[in-house]
Amino acid sequence: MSREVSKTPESVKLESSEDLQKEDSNKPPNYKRISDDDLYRHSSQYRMWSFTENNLRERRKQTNDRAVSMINQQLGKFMEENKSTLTEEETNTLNVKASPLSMEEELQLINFYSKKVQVIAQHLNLPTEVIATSITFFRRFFLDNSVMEYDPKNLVHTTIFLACKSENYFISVDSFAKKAKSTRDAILKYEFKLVESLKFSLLNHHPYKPLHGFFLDIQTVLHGKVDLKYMGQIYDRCKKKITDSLLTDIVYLFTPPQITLAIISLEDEQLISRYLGLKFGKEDATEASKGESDTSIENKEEDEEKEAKPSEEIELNKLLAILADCKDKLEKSLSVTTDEAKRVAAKNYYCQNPSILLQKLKRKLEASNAESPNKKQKVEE
Amino acid sequence: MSAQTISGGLDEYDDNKDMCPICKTDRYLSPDLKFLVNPECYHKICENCVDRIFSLGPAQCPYKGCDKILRKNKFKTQVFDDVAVEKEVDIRKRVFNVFNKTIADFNGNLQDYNKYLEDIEEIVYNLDHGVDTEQTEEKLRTYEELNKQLILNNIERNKKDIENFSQSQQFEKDMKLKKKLLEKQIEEEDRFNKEWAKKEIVNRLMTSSGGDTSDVIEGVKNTVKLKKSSARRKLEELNRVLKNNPYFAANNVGQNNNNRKSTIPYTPFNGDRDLNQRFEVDETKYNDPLVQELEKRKDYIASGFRTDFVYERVLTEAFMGLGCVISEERV
Repeated sequence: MSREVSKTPESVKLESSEDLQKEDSNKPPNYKRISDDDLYRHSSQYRMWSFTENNLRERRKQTNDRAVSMINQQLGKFMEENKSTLTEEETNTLNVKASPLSMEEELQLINFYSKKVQVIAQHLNLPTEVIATSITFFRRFFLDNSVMEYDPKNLVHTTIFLACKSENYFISVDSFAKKAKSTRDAILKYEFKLVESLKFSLLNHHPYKPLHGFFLDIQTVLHGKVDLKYMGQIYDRCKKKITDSLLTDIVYLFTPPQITLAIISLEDEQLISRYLGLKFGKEDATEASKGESDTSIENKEEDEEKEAKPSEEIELNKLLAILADCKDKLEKSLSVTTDEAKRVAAKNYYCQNPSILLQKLKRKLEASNAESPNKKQKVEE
Repeated sequence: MSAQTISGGLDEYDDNKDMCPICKTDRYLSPDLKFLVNPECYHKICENCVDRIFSLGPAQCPYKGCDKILRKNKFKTQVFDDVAVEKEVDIRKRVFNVFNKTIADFNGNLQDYNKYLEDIEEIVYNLDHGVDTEQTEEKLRTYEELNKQLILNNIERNKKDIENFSQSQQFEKDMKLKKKLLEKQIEEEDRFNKEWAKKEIVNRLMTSSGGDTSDVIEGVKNTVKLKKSSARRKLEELNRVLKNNPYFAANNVGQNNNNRKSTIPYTPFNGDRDLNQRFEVDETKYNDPLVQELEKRKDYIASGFRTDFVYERVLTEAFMGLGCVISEERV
């Protein structure tokens, strides 16, 4: 292991990796030990369904733009066709009420319906993981498809049904349709489109298992220092919060363990900071002490060995920053009121079916003409 | 045109499987009718016709439009129903007789051996489908000429291998037979001993007059136990021999060597899992009523449920991706 002093750190590192390769000479080329993080990087959730905030927004914008141009085209065609019969008033109403949704409005509608998915799935007495998967599928579907192209109402049951299958909780279509008070054809109509939009990646890593894992690991690290009954309470409360978090965008922005830690820390900040301090802070301390005495050759060699260790060390500070960010986003996420959702849904409906809007307007006009002129003003508003 | 006329036109000779197309003899009338084919053209002809037509020497195939000259000694019984299969098997037999190297001839170099096999396949395919037939035949001939000695050696070796194999099979069979006989013998002796013990006890009880009965019974049983039969000893010896069986041992060692050479463990990610995990599973420290409850249920244990599997899985998931910073990595 004799080395020239003049070598730059990079070359040293390079050589050490070569040494490693020499050790496993009969291993295949580019042999590397896979850390738990790399394992996650191989998952479809990381490869296809993890985004930075910007990427996420861009993706939604793209979907929205595509749908908006389509709707505008349809509206233009409609106006063109009915040009001769349209009154000025009707044109005005069309312009006001039948405009395509903005990206934010779409998101509102999606959020509202994701909540609906949760409620319906809970009503059907499905296991937690199935509910989580249906929410995830639903939200992922509307990342690439606009609510103006596919009515979210039609996809609620389909996503729940598909989630049942992918989570190995099989219910036949007919009995599912009976339970959900829907029809077999309605459920199956969009199933393939849904699976296609999910890019056939059906395995989800929900934060429930990490929660269980941390629940155990906290017991190990803080052995004898935590009240077990209290831990049980925390566990139950966090489970609920995880389901809520699935209704937000943080599932795209963070990995499941990070979300889990952030949620536990929302419940009990001290617990998590103590736990993380003991778990990952300690190694920093030992490394620092080694750094002080690196004049002796033995220690140096030990350090090199450590460097050659393929496992990725976790930096406590970085992790804490991520958790803080995640917590921040969790707290900021707000729910959509029913009124708001109704308004957006109506707008969505009218922009796709302008003729119905006109019929409605006509009926209203007739009614108001028959009764009093006051109501007419309201319509115009 | 109807479908029937088409098939009739194509399969003029084959429409009746049990009838000789030459003499029109039917299997229904002569049950011991046998069909033969000649590897030149694989046309099916009954035995009588072969005798009749080819006894006087080589003659043309009696099928309409077939101008192959056939000899009687080349005729053989068809093994496979499908002529194409029959033909390929024949070609294979012929080619493998010439190209008869084994992996041992390549010093265990799998790549070279595979290339060799690929070459053979090519030749077989060419001959079978009539692609470059003359060139391929030429190739086969020159190879045979060049490697005559090697081919002969290999044939010799194959023969030996087969012999060895059948010998070891025979040996095992004999041993098993012997074992069965001995076991039967032991069973009989046991039965005999039991009866003898019964009688002996009654006898002794009659003669001893008023001693402790249980003592007597115990004594007799002990003498029976000590009577270890010669058959039993023989069986033990036989078992030992079977264990040290030279054929057996040789086979096993050979297999082990092969395995050791070829094993680079399959690693799905171009590498194994990191051994330094971020957690340790320590079941004694966990208080997890839910999982611990499941461990007590029989239906769970029966299907292989183990708490440590659950613990390991959830802990792995807990630290899987903890260090991935999506906002930095996915730009």
